[in-house]
Amino acid sequence: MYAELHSRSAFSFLEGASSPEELIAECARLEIPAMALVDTDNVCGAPRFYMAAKKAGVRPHIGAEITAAAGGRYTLLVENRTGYQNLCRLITSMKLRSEKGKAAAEETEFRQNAQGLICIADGSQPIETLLDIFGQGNVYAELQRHLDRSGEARNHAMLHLASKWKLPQIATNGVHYANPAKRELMDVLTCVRHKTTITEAGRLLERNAERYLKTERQMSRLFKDAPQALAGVAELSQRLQFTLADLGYEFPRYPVPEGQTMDTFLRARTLEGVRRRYGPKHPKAYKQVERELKLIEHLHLSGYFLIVWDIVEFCRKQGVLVQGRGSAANSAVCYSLGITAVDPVGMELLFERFLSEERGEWPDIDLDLPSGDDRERAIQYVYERYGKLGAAMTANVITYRTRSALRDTGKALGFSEEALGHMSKLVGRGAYEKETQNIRTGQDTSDPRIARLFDLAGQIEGLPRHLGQHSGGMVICQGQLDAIVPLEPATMPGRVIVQWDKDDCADMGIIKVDLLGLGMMAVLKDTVNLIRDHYNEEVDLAHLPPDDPAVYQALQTADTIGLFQVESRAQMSCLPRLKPAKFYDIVVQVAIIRPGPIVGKMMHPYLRRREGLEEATCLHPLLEPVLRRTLGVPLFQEQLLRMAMIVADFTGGEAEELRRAMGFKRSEERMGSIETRLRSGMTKKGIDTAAQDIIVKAITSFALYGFPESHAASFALIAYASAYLKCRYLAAFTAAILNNQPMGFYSPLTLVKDAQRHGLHFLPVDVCRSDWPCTIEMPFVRLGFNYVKGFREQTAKSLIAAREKSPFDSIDDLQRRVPELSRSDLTALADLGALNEIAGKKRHRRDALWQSELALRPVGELLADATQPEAASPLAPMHYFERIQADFANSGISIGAHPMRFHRAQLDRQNVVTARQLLQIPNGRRIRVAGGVICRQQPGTAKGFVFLSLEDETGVSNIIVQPDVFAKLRATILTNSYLLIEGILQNQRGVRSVRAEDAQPCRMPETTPAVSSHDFH
Amino acid sequence: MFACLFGRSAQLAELAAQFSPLVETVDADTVVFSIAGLGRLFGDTNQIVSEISRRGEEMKIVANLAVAINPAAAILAARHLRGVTTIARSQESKILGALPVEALPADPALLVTLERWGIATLGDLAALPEIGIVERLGEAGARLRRLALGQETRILDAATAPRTYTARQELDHPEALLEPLLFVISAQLHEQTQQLQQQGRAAGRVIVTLELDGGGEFTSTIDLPIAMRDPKALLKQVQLSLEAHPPQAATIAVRLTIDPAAPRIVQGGLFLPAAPEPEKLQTLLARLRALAGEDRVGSPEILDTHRPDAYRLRACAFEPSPAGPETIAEAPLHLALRYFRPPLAARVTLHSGMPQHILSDRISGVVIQAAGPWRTSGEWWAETAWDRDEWDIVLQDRAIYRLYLAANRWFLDGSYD
Repeated sequence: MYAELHSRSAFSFLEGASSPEELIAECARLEIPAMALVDTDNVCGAPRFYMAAKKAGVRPHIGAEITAAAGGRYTLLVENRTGYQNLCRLITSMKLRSEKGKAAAEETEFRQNAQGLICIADGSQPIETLLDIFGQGNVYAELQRHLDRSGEARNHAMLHLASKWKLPQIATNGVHYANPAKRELMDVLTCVRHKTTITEAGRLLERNAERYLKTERQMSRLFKDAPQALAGVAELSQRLQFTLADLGYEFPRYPVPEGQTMDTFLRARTLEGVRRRYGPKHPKAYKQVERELKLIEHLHLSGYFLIVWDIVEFCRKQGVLVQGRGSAANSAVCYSLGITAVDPVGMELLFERFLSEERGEWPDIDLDLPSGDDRERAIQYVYERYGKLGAAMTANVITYRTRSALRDTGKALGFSEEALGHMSKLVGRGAYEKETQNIRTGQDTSDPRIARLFDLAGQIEGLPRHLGQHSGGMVICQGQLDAIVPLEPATMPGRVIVQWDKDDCADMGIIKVDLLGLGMMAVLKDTVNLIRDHYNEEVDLAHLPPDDPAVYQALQTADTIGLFQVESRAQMSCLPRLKPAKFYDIVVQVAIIRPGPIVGKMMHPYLRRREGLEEATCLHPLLEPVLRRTLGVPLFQEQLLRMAMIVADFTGGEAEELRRAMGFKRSEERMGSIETRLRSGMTKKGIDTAAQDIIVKAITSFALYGFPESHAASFALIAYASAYLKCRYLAAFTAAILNNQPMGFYSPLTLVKDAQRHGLHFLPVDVCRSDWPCTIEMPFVRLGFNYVKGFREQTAKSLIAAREKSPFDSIDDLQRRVPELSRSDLTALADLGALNEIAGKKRHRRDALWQSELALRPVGELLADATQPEAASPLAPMHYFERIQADFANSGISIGAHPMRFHRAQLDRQNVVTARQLLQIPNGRRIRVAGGVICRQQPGTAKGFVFLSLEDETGVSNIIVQPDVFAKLRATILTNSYLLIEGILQNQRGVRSVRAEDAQPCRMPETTPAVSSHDFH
Repeated sequence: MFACLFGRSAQLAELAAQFSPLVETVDADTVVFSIAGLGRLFGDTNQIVSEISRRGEEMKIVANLAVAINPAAAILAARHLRGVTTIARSQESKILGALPVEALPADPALLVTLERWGIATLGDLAALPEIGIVERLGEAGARLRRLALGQETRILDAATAPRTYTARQELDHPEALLEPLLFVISAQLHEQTQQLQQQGRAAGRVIVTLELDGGGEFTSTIDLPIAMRDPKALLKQVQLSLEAHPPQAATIAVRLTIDPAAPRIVQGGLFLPAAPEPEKLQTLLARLRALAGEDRVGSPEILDTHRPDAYRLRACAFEPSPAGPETIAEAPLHLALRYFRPPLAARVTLHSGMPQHILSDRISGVVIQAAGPWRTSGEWWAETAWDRDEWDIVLQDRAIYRLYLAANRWFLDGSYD
């Protein structure tokens, strides 16, 4: 029996060219019964390796190559759980004390963590030392044959050492990739790692393509002179009994008062909450809570709920907005504990989507917190409560995307920066893009170098590049987390991450809590505070008026710039058709613009039924109760589960299993067996084949990307709140959203212009009045110093402190009393008009520039405290367009006119209509529109269509570019900030857009500031 | 008064030198020179300008010409105003005023400040108060303002033109033989190297141009890795070059040009090994090149690649080179391989995948021992891609060879010592 006991995967980060799944698949194909994954200084790929191996029936051994501080590496294999824990601790220890990318273990660390580990000696370390550290019998001599002479010399030396020290021998192939074809990719990765090109890499590259997974037959032939080494492999593989199924993970216990258990304590807290949420008489709610509590107790999950409750309570006490999202909103216990805000009983949400006995995995509770400091406080609370080695953030495995793949591969192949910049600008995203990118980039595909570039870039895409930090996932452990998974420092100071991402943690049964930063939560919180301070009103987000007509009016007319979840281009084009009129419509609206409903062709039937253009029939009469609310069209994941439960008598857990089977890691076999069960259940219920087909298709098509109804409802609450606050308290909402950038879909400029179109007036930055954030001077919004480019918050604080002591007399006085003000700060302030009115004296911007330049000149000590009298400036004031330019240059936004306004007379001569005029033009008319491009989109579901949004001084016009037109006009569309589009106006039931037939750069003066665009996100 | 010429011509300085010994080459496109005192020769300023223009036309120079009271104003006008501009005294700011401020030779940060101030032209800048400018922009700002006003004065930085070492001699009759030509060249070399010596220079490159009977020229260029001025050594190099590549027709005139270079200054080292004099070594290499071909003489350099027998020839280094990176050296093989160049095609009989018998033009026999295959492949991205399996074989006569298979063909690559 031959097992490959020395394989690196792509998780060795540029030192391996195949994913763990590829390696296992090749193992299975070659009938290799076991394999050891030994990535460099990490076990990042271990969960994926383990899961793939489990499915394929391959025995997965775990290990790692550990960099030694004294030089070289130790190849270690895990024999038992102690060994695994030691490996994790060894990696953690060396990583946590080292600079990122420079970790190496000291000999003492190897000694402290040697138990349970097998060392594979390749001759690079002294055998005596290895024996001393790991003990006789735990050190194996490794022979590898890659058909090169120097390797053979090494083998001779190893045989000699093995004989001298009585070491057992093993044969391995030191695998770096699954099959020989991957050698080219390996060479490219080597170049990326060494920051060199393929022509200059020389002998850094592979000598040949022999480091692939070889069959038992090939290895037997290679080592026919060393049968003892092959026998050693089988013996060692048998010794390695550890698998990741034996992690020994335990979720922390929540400390409860004496005399109580976690179950009783949770029950008490929940019942308090039920009374608060539902009142004393609500049998349905109490029954549901009881059912959930019983299951939670049965699954020993009370501790988990209490820990999440504890975090929520902490936030509440600290005044931090917090709201559970995702499937947790299906739980009445979560609702009662205050973790979620949606009433699952009232909305008849399906609890099994959240938790079921059959599923045998931890529930997933995600908490939305205001992004920024508030979320950081919650994270630090968890660290403090469970200790540095008891809690950590999950990793985010950064993988190669189309552009990064193209860039790194191109650099390695020696393409110039300029050529790569050009190509990567033009390649898009997603599968559709990939197929056609050769053509679209305008490259000569007959050039073998170009063809090779795209081929290799395609191979590299999706491979891990490095570990990042997940946006909010935290794992918590009873005891030492570093014995479960290695920890390493994140880039952010003070943060520690585990080496697994959130899916790996879920696969390994490690429970996690997601503390997600949501920009809109911060906006809501800030808006409420601003309302309290400036409107003298108290707004309770939990008790907003439920059916505010202004909110629905805004939604129905797609007047949604800045609103949560409903502001995207796609949402805007759907809103006038869906015409939300009640809260549940917003839930639907949030969920409907998702790949699931779109790919599953659910969106248009639903909209047609809403508009009365189609009869609202159900797929089958049995499904009427489930689908009635969504007019017979399944839109939510819960509906999918309930459908399976009704038509095929699935239990809740089985239905959830079905959803997962159709999830990201689809297995044909698993799907096939579930479909068979589904169909047999339906047949028993007398559902005919035709109806079965429709139901199966409905279930399979959007299971992957559909929103859970509970999640949509949680988001809809925030969407409603954002719309309500924008409609009712525009100044406060706008100030808050400007203070929480970057977030959402639109740039600050678009948000300002939209607010102005809604009648809001802005005041410019003013050193005598502005604060760091944007503030309200009823009824206006005053721009803050946060909109002065390069200005630091600390400088703003010093300025405000000086101002509060006594007002500034002059620019010179300002400069003297705020020494933190740099030359560029003062110049930017003057250029923006922020110095126009100091001490009641009016100046124009160039006056201020003239004075500030004088103030900035160094003077001797004698005159340091002397205030310079302001002499009249000889400079002419800026004209309007210059002021707009200065605004853009120094703050990225302008509260003056839109740049397009200055060009309008010329555009009129070219018969270009404004965005507002579009509303009056009949369907089918050929028209021209122009504006700054604020958004370019090419959704994966849109079959190559590209959507543009052009902003002018009157609003936003939407452009649709068909794939053939885009192919022709690609460079023009992607490289110009202002476009002039000619095409046909389409008015589809109130949704107006222009179908582009031609695009050209909109000729603006060279000095026109470019608008920023939200592209392809 | 000063005149400035601005244009794309290598002869600007030559033209200027016809009018003044005080010529400043500001950059490749700009020369400025004094025209003071030319009135007695040519008349008033307009007549001087006409004369400069006339001679420029004769020399086929296309350039802007400007005359002003100071060099800076003349330069600004020549660079930014087309044709001929004559700026009379006190008219500077009037004529220069419309120029954009970007025309000024200013620190970019100063230009940004001026742009912020809305200062677009030299006229705008000139209109600003001097004290205000000095207070804000210091001396640099004041200088810019003076430039804008056309009032910046300075003296010319007139440097001696670089010396060329050229000699030309016409022959009495067309000469087809090399020896008489070398006689002429020898005399030229002696003369020019003497001048080089006088000025502390040496020859970096020697260019011999032979003007041929019936039109056309023949040029022989000798690049010298080490600058030298020994006429005999130089003549030998010329001789070897002309012998290797003789002219195709009789010569009617010989032109010799020497590009000067700094002479080599070397102090002998007590611990440096004795080596041939560079001049002699160069002569030897020139002889070898003449014999073997230009691209077949040099120091072999092993390339950093796994490709077998990969090397290139580089020019011989005369200075001791620093030690190469240690990564080049791998575990040393105990046997040295003598490559067959080219490798010998062979026919090989295999047994169980191992060579059993080989047959080639020079070497044949039964393989009594073989090690391999040793596999190498690489440069898959280029036309130099290779993929081959090697065996080390011992024949019955105990000789050891390297054998390889590439593209289904067998070759003997070399023999081990």
